[in-house]
Amino acid sequence: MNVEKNLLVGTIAAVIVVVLLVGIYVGEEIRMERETEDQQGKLIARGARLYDTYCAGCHGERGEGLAGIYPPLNVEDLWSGKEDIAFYGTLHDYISLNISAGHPEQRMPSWATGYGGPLRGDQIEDVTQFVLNWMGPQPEGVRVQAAEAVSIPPPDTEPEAEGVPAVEPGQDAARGGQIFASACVRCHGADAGGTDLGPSLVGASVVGKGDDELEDAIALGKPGTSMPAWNELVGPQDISNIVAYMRSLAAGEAPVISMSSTDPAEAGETLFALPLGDALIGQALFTGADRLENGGPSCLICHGIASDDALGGGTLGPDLTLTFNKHGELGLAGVLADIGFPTMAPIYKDRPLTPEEQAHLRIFLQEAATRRPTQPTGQFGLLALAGFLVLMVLAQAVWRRRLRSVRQSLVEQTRSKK
Amino acid sequence: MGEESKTNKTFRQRVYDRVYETMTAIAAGMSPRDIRDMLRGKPAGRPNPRYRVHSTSFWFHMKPRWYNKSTTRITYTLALGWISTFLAVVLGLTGIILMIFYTPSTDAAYFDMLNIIGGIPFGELVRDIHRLAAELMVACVILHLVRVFATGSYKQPRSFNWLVGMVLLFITLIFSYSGYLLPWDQIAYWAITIGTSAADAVPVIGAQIQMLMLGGPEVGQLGLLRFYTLHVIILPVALAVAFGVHYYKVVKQGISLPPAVEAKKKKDERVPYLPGILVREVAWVMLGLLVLIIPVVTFYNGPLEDHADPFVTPLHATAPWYFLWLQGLIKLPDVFGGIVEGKFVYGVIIPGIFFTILFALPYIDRNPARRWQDRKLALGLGAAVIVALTVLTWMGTPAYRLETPPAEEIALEFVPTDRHGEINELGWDNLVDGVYEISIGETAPTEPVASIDLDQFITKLASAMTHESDRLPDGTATLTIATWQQDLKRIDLDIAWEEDGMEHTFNQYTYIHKNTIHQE
Repeated sequence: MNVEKNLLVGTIAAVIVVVLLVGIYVGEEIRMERETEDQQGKLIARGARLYDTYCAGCHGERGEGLAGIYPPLNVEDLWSGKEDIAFYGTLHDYISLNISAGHPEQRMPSWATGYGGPLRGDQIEDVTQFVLNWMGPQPEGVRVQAAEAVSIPPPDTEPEAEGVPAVEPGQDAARGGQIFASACVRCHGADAGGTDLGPSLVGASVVGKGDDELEDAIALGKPGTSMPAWNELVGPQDISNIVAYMRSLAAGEAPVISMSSTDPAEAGETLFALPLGDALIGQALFTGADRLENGGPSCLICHGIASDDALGGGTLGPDLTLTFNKHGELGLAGVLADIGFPTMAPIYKDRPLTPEEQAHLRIFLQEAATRRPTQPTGQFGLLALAGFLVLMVLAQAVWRRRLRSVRQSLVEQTRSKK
Repeated sequence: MGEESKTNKTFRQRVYDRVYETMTAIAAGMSPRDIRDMLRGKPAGRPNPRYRVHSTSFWFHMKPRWYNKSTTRITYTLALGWISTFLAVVLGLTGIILMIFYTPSTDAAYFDMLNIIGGIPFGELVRDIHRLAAELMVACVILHLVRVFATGSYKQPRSFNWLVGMVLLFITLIFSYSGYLLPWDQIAYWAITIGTSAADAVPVIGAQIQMLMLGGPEVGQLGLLRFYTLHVIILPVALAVAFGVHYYKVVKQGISLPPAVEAKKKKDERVPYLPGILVREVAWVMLGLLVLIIPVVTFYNGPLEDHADPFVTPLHATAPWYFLWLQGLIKLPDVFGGIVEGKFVYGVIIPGIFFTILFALPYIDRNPARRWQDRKLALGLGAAVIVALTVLTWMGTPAYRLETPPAEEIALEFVPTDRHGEINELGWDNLVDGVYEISIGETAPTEPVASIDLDQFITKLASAMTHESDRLPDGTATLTIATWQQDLKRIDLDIAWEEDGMEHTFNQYTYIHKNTIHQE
């Protein structure tokens, strides 16, 4: 071993290491600052993508909003008009909180997972940073004007005076349906079966009410809920048309006008004549043993269910064992046909369930409702116990002679001495 | 006056004696004079103080007093075991530092990573060293195994130590794999998702094993916590125990002599540990630190992608490189006619047999010879296995048999949404707003653009389109760069082609912020 050479090599290496560390230390502050800026930039870029997916539908692709309904975000000062509320936090907190918890009076759903929405905390922060970036001076071409709100077909009859009696032979359910498809389905669902944003309009709550009451609800909105006042955008005659359409819908007469299907007969058929499905296939689809045709994730990832070979299941969503009792047959069919829960909607929007899959899953869920929700903990306990016993037996078999050997050598020693 | 100087002298003498004693105690019985003599290459006195150290000091008693000279040659062992140990220590120390700034929670983990990189002095250095050392350690441990196989060192009496070494290999692999998940980014999430889904192929208990590993059917908070516990508590303890046994055996039995030396049955020359080997090891530690730091300050960056997202599957997600051969194995065609599942055979049975043979190697290979000319069969088989693993690793990469539509492939290469791509290398100033049309066969853009780099980017895109012209007949691409916000641009890539008389289009867009760091 050449001690001197190694000492020299070691010393040189140590000196270089120290010099490098000092060099890093000198540049560290600048690097950290640059790195933080980079992270901030990536935050905004990610927020832009999320905005496209979740926010652009209402607030517009470039944040221009929809006049009278959805506020524009592409503005100089997002505080404008908000000074009078008693909010003591920063603008960042205000926006972040609005996105997270939603704003029921202004039809803004809650987006954070903590409030039942689809976005994680980091994503809320991304979107907040993106929205905040609209404040202040902008390069040319960024500011965009708001577009028209709701597309109302041009009236073919003269608008009548206010205070017209509710039920009239002049009511036009078809025209009401057109407006309904443009304005109401956002919250009440394509089949008016309700979503997380708005209640069902085909149930007893509508049938039992008078036309006056319904028209008032549409015209003036429901304060404290996400139902806006429509009287500024929709004339009284058209409101009455919408009510007529709702009546025919509740009676099961009217074809369902949905955004996706333009053939009313077909859409009506899939809703009211529920096809039969197979519970076993439904179970395979639920657990992911069979993939969903359009590539949607299987239910078990997020939902638990009691079943023969589904072990527990995810906890992101609620346990679905008793969901059939909650929604009923028709409700479940509606939910599966048009998945509107904010967490699930973006995932299944592009990967809808096929009609056959919907039927299989519905029948499976119906059957599951006869069971009790279970916990997999007991199974694991048994499995662990069995594994432990097997290992003990194995150890006993493998090291059978482990105690003998020490003593044996001692005995042999004494014997040889004799 | 005279009396005073006398007391001074005795006082100095006393201080000197005290210092001398203390230094001797610190050096475990070697006086400063002994140390000086040792470093100057003088022969040791008797009784040899350099041997005494090994019985008086805890740390030195773990090292052998002397080595056989032929085993100290770097060309024989390549010091792979030593390097693995060095890397393990570096990983332990950097790991503790990272642990201080890390929370094993799906909400916080990713932000802790960002904070470590951007908010903590030396944070990026420590993280990159940890990451680099981890990759190197896996490589070193595998190479160590190959070396021990090649020199036949696993044979009697060292067969037990081969077994312990195999345990250490497994611990290292699980160590690296469990650490993979902790940053909670997209690579982490999907590498673990792919890896743990392999457990699903095990019959009867597969689902339970997977459940036990992840705490649920998917990688989530429970899974992260389990992997974290493995990584920072269970595996370090297991590693310490197994390493203790392994190294004890090495010291006790000595490093195996090179086969040629062993065959001569001649007594080898002894090299004492002190001072030569100690000094060499200290020098190696310094060199090792240098080798870790230089790549980190020059080119190496520990990868960190976007936040983990269960709903976004990245294109071309792969397992870590040391598990790619398993991924390649699973890609093999299913030839069992439905009697058994292909995934089960390729993912469980074949690796199971492979590892069983590897574990039991010293007990299967009963040939006592260690020289190469007497072990032709074993060495041939070993070489075949290495070649097979290399080929399988290549097959595991996305380059092999992955049917990605060409338009998606081009979009991924040029305007990726979740990783580094060609567009990120342009830099903010080169992103000139405009609509750029690209057709197959064109080498230059139809109109001159404002930046040379953007020109080159478009040329590259055009040649990529030309390259795929078989699968993208009549293909055209439109690149749209638009100012979206202050310091934010949107880049749209629309690819259109004609197939079976039908017009097909594919769109992908990404946003780039001015402050994003780009490499030129």
